Amino acid sequence: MAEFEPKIVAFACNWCTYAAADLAGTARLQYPPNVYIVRLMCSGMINADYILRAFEKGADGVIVSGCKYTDCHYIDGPVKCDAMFAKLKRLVHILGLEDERLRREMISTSEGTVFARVVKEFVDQLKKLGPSPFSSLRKEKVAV
Amino acid sequence: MADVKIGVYICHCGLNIAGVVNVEEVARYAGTLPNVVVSRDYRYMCSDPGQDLIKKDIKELGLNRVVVASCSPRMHEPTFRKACQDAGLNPYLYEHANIREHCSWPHATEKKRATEKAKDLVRAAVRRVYWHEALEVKEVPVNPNVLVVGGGIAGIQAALDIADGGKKVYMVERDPSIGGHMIQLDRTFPTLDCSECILTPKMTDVGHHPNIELMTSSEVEEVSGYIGNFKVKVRKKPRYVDLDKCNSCGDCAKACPVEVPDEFEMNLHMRKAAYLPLPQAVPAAFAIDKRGISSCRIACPAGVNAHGYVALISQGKFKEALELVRRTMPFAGVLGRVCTHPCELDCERGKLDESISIRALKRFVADYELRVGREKATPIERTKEDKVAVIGSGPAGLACAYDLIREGYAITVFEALPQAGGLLSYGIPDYRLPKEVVDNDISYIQELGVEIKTKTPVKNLTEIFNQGYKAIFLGTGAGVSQKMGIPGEETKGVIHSLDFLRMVNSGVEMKLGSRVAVIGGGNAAIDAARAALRLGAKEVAIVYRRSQVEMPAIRTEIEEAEREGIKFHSLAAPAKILSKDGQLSAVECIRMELGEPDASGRRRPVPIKGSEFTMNVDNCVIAIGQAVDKTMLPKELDYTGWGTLEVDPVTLQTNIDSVFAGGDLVSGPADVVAAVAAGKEAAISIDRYLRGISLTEERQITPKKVEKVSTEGVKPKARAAMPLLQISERKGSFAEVEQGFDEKTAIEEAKRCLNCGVCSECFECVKVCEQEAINHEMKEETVEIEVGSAILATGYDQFDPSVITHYGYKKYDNVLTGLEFERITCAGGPTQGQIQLKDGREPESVAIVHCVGSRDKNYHEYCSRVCCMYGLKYAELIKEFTKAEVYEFYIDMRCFGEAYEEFYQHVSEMGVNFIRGKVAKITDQAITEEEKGKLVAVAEDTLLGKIVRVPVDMVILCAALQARSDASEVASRFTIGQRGDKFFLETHPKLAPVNTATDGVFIAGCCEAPRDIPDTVAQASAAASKALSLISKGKVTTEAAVSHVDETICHGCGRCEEICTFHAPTIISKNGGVVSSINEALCKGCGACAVVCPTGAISIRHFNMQEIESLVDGLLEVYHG
Amino acid sequence: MSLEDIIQETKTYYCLECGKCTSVCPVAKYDPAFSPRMMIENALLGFENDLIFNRELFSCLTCYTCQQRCPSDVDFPVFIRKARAMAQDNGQHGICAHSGQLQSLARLMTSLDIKQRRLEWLSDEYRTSDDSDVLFWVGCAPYFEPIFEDIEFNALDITKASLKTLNLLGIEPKLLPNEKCCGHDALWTGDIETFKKLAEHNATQIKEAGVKKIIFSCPEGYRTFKLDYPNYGFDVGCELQHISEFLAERIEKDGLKFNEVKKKVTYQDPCRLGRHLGVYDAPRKILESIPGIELVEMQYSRWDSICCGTSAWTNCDSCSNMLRAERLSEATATGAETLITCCPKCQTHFRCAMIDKGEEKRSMPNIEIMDLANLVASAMGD
Repeated sequence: MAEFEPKIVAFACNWCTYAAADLAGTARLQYPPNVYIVRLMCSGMINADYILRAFEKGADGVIVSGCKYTDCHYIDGPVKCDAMFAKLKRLVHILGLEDERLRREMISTSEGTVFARVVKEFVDQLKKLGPSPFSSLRKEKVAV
Repeated sequence: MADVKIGVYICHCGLNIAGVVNVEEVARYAGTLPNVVVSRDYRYMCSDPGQDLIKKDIKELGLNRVVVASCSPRMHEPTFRKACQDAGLNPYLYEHANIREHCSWPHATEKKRATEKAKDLVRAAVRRVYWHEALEVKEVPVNPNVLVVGGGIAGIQAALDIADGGKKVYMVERDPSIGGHMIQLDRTFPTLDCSECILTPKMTDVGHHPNIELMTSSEVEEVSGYIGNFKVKVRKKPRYVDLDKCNSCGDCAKACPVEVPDEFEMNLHMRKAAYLPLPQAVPAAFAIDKRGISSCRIACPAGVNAHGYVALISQGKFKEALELVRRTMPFAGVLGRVCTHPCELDCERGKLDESISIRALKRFVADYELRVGREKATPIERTKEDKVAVIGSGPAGLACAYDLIREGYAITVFEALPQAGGLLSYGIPDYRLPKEVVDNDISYIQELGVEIKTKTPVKNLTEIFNQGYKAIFLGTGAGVSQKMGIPGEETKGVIHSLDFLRMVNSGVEMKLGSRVAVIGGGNAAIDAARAALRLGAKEVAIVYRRSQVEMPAIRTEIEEAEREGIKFHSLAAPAKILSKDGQLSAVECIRMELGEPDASGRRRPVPIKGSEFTMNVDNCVIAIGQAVDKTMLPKELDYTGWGTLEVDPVTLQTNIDSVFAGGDLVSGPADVVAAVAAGKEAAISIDRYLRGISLTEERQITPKKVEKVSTEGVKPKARAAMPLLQISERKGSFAEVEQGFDEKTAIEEAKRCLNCGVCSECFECVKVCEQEAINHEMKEETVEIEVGSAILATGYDQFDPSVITHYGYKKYDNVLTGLEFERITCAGGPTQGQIQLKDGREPESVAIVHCVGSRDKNYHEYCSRVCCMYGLKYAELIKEFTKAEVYEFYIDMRCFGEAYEEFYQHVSEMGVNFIRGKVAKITDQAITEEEKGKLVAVAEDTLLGKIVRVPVDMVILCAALQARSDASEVASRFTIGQRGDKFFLETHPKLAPVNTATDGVFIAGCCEAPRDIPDTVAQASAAASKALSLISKGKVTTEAAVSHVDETICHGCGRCEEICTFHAPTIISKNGGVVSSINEALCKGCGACAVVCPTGAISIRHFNMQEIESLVDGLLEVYHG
Repeated sequence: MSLEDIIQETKTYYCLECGKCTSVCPVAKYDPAFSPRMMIENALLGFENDLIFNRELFSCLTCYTCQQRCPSDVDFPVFIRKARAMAQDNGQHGICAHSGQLQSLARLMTSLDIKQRRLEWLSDEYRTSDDSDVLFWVGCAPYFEPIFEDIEFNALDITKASLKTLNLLGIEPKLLPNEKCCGHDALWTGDIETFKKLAEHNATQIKEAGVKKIIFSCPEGYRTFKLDYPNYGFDVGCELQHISEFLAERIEKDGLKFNEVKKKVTYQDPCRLGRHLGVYDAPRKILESIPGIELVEMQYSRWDSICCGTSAWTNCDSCSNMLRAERLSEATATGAETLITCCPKCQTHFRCAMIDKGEEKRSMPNIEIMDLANLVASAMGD
């Protein structure tokens, strides 16, 4: 049987973390292809349901990442994101999801290396953890 | 949604993508996805032929959605959106998949998996694009006016660039002159050209430019609107000098008695309250510095301008000081002696050491007049037809008469007794208030034209009205002594204080026994006791029922009474008067203890059972209080339950419209200044009454107190002691006890004043200004201006090195900051450019300490960028103008600009000592002979690895540049970001260095980060060009991907309004309900509102939940066609 | 299921087009676009798209007011439910409140692999027993706590009060550590697949638990177990009771007595407990048995009462809010100090409306709101 390859969804803000991922690519930093990046304008735009939805659809781990507090293009998006994230963590905890499957990061534009490292680390961690408890909900074929 | 036709284009990007990802396979896969009608791959999609491919398909295949999978959307999304638009497709019906930066490049070694991931990314993009909606990019016109905040070099440069470009600029500057920090500098590195010389012409240009509206002493209060269309409220503080009339002659400053430290001279020098902000000030006009009303003035019940006369005395202007007192009330001599001086209790100096001796200073000017003689006062011209009658010539009545005569009314004062003055003449003994003082104050009133009819008791008010008087002021006082109500009170030898004092003051001969008891603790009791002593009594004792600290009498009076030998029996009350042969023999008292607090908040004295004791006395004076004698007053007036007259508390009007009353008659027994205050208040009412205007309107205006009193450079100094008559000389004599100040003492005492409010409103400046430019009545106003963009150039604050205590700033005289040293070297500065120590000597050695507060995690982590260079400049100037040895203590020399390194070389060659090491401390503790009397800079010379102690005469601290203390408020007013160090945050540190989070708001100069003048000027011009380019474009497009409210869902709960940083949503009433309404021009599309919206009414266009969730679904849900 | 099947099953063809349903419908009162009659008519005329692609389909509160008045006994709420299932098949699912988190949670719970930590709040203060033959249904309360903390509502307080009450009556109930959502909301929004999975998990667990009775503090769970599980073939095979019924029975049979609580209260009938299941008397009996409680009825009560405004976390629209305003003003008009209800959702909705920030521009009446279980617990405490 093939090795378990976790799926990761990274919700990233346009200005910092998405750009950091671009930089990781430009610098040809190699990291496993297990991560999908969802580009949003601001980490403050990330809705708790996007994350629940990612788990429902088969993500084994989710990264929520945006600017650092003082870099935000919208002044205080990261603070708003923190509030959402804290609530969501409590929710998925009750649901029985391992806390390690959710990561809150703040990766700024220049931190391509940090992005690559976080993905690598996370993939290793999730491989040890195995498939998410919701993985059975994943649908192989869907109507669009 | 019917008929969605998607075209998918996979870019090879040469081999950048195709070298890893099997692009043909991805394209084939994309073709199997629902709604995809065409799917192609191409070598370079971003090339013209690549774009043409898309355009052609849109036209020929009728595509209504396009997906391109290529490099990062941050690179080519705009390119393909434009291609769609060119082909007639709304650019928002486009979706981009990043298969280069996020796929082929980072997964170059895993080609198969990279291809699978590319398929996933394309599938997700196809799922998302399905939900895209056409969005309209709106255009709004740009208002061509520009706001520039801050009048330093950055603001000046930006304003001139824009104004020269023909556009209108509003420049708002907080200080009364523009110039900023640059005009404080002496010379500028590395060229050493004089800062003043290069900046002054630019400042003048700003002042005269037809396109610049300069608003000094002004601050931006509120900003609303959005790019192209801002509304700005500017609060203009009054200058009190008319800019058009002032010719900068400086007479006002010469006349001004108030001296305060000059901020422009870094407090190294004093200036006046009426001052020219700086020698080259623009606008070139004086200003009057008012920071509120001083506490002493607020505390005075009669509203006497204590600060004003104290300031005038400090300048030896005694006559003017007395005039100022008399502007408010006529009793300088009287109140200078007997006032309870609430002013001194509130005096700010008291918080530092001891309050100013304000009362004694007032007395001093009155005495001065008596001493030098007074010319008769000029009678006031009668300008009003009405006559007013004042009944009672005590302080209340006379104060009222005084104010009314000055309003031009004819005044007659009716007095029942032979002498005018009421209690001033009959109540207070001469040793405290000599007759001639009272007479002088009263005759001044009479000289103005007030007619005083003594021995004329008034029995009936109607009679007065019948004589043609239109209004009456009643100030007949509380002239009846209260009774104790104890057995034996009527015994011979018992006398009530008022009768006793009246006899004393009328010179009636009295025979007192050798032992006198006085009952009571008020001023009348002390007066009676001290008078008894002077009349020959051997033993005088005061019996008071509460504790001695609770005595209401003036403290110094109690102290003097004690010194004179009067005994105090506190916590005791008389119970019975005992007599022998019909003559008083003793008073039986009972001891008291303090029980529960009563209505006055003081603990109620309660008798201790069985604690009776007897005092053998010959006389007993009862001074427990006074009451109003109702029998003397007309019956038709209303009275309170306390037996006092009932009046309106604000207007002092009685139940008869034309009758007003004040003083003890209304308040019950109180002090003189309260009576004066009441008389003045009644005068206002009577004047309003007679002129037929509202008695109450705008009556009680709360004065603006000084918020923060500057104690900069104030050294502790005790208040001047009042010379007193020897105790031995007091017995048997009614000579005045307090002797008053001499001129020197008065001036010195007055100079202790902190000048809290700065301007004392003595109005000396008004007297001397020939241009009539001064107007103390100017009010603060708020004006609203409309601009299309704003440039913030608010500058920096200098770091206060006193927080680094081991550098001894403010502890050692010769430890200076950079800006202080700038003023010292400046030819126009406090030392006329002489580099000298505080004591005037030229320094023999100087240490220049770099990085003070910069590059230091304890203060500011950043480098302040200018210190190395100005440190070098100081070295060069010191070397050039003195023989001093110079030591530069540095960590790294950062000489990065044009000709900077060369300047460093030049200074090095001048023989300056460079020591690489951060100074650990500055101390005056010498350990060698050589160090004695010097300041020692201790540091490690890190190049030698040796601790060095360098004795110097002067230390210059290169203090950091830090964000303005109010930077956060300004940032929130303009909705822009700040970094952790509080400087304003630019949109991008490299590519958008003058833009901010709010479109149309630009930043320039040190408000963004520390920088030198060349960089500041360049940045200011950059900001100006941003503003100008916005104006030339004439219109702005608003973000299309903004928040949107479904009004049928919205509850108007307000969570969006609460969370939005940009104030885009507002809850409005609509169709009987409330809903959120988004100002799309303000919305930045960050999406925070949609997250908190509980109902789902808010969505972000182009990033709605449907779109994001279908993207997430598409990434994870595999689809096999 | 086709439109035709739905018509057959809900006997929609008996509709007389009399319009009584629309005229009593609380939604139609505020939203003129909403008409039960027109929906039925569209269905009967075969305009399928007009029915299932209409946003209004998800606005129905399924409160049963219409069905109670219907002269032809058309089961409109069930009609709506089934039409929604059709809409779901076509990608329509209404406008989800709270970003759809609650719907997602239900779907996530269908995973068999999860081990929930839903009982972490359970302290020694509450006595439970795995051997008990009474099961207490906790429901969604643990999830509500983080979601609704901003409206200062903790549904677990109701759970805790119910447990305390049961303990005081000597019952140490069994709790299920991996209890799933009952599926009520999924069912009523037409997500039948999720509903069935949840129902199956729950029915299996309960059978394994071997209890004789289940007590509910949530009327929705109660209704779902009582009516919908059997209807879809999931029989839990034991007695079901709402806690109000359980307590009313104790008052009647065992002479249960309460301590005095001085309070003037009014009572909100939850749709599920009232019109759906006909439980009107039990809660009132309890209120009347507590000394010091004065119950004043609102203008509309029992079968006539007004819904709290939303069901199944969908289409919580402006009309929902107007309904809440209306109901809350009725409650305050009684002069009662407290509004008692026994459904955590009624409480969520009313509290949410009262905490709204737009308050200064609109006058939302304000009243203390409390669950019956909390009132009972305070009347039984020491």
